[in-house]
Amino acid sequence: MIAQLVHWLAATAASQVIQNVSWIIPLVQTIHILAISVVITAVLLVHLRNFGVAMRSQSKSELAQRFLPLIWYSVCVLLVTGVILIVGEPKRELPNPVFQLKMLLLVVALALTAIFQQPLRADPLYWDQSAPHRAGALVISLVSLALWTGIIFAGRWIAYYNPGGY
Amino acid sequence: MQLEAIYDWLQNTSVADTIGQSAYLFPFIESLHVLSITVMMGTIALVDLRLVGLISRERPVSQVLREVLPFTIGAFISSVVTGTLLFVSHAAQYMSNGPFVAKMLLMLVAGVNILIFHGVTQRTMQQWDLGKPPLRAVIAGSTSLVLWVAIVACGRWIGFTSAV
Repeated sequence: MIAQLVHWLAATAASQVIQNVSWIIPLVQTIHILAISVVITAVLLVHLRNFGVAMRSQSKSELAQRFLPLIWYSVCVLLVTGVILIVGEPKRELPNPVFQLKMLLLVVALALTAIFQQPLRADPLYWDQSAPHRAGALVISLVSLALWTGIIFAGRWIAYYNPGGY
Repeated sequence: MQLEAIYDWLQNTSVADTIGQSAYLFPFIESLHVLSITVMMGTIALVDLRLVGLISRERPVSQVLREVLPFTIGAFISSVVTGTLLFVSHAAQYMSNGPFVAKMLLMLVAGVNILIFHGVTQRTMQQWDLGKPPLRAVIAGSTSLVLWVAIVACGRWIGFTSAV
């Protein structure tokens, strides 16, 4: 099924244009990386604040309110640039298990972000309310940081995946 | 003095050789490099956007610098260390790669911009810590942003230019 999708995409005019105009892929990848900068910085600062080691002039809820939305805006940019890259080089991404792992990690990371953000709407101090809540925030932070690091590593490793082995 | 001889010597050191020959070490160091530069880019953007006066205007510039710059500096050091390890593994090829050389030159310019800011502009920071930043701070911040975006772009372009 993936092979058919790859075949179909590769035959589209859009795919041809993306591949043949030499500056499109590097430019789109650069925008992709810049959007990742926004996400990783937002994730890092919010979660380091949860550990109490950074940005202490602002409260945890202030920082979360200011930076978490940036993740979602950046994910939109990542989605658009990502789709362009996939349309341009479907075979490089779609059947690639490293790419598939990246997408899986991304889904989990975004779910965790939503889980962290959701209770803050009704109660900005939700994660500070009690010891179990504070512990929960720390666990979410640790796992999130690990996931986003994994996403960046997987993103770079897509280019190195060689079905014939190294 | 033959520069090529220096690059060849670098590539043949045991560190460079190990990285260059390994199927896993280069991608791993490269991934750490990407992680480092993304943290650096994001944090420097926070500082620069404050200098330009576009974000966090209610917070003193000195406070933003104090809280964010340590991450920028740490990420920069990590970028340089990982970048150097990547560079030595294929030194000669990188030195003949246009975007790589451009990236190094742009980093020099960015460095000069930082020196001017810290040596001159920052001295009067108490006067404009709150409120509208002066033109020289706006110039420092916007120059920094443009330069670092260009540096990231050159970095990506390296891989599209020659058989590195």
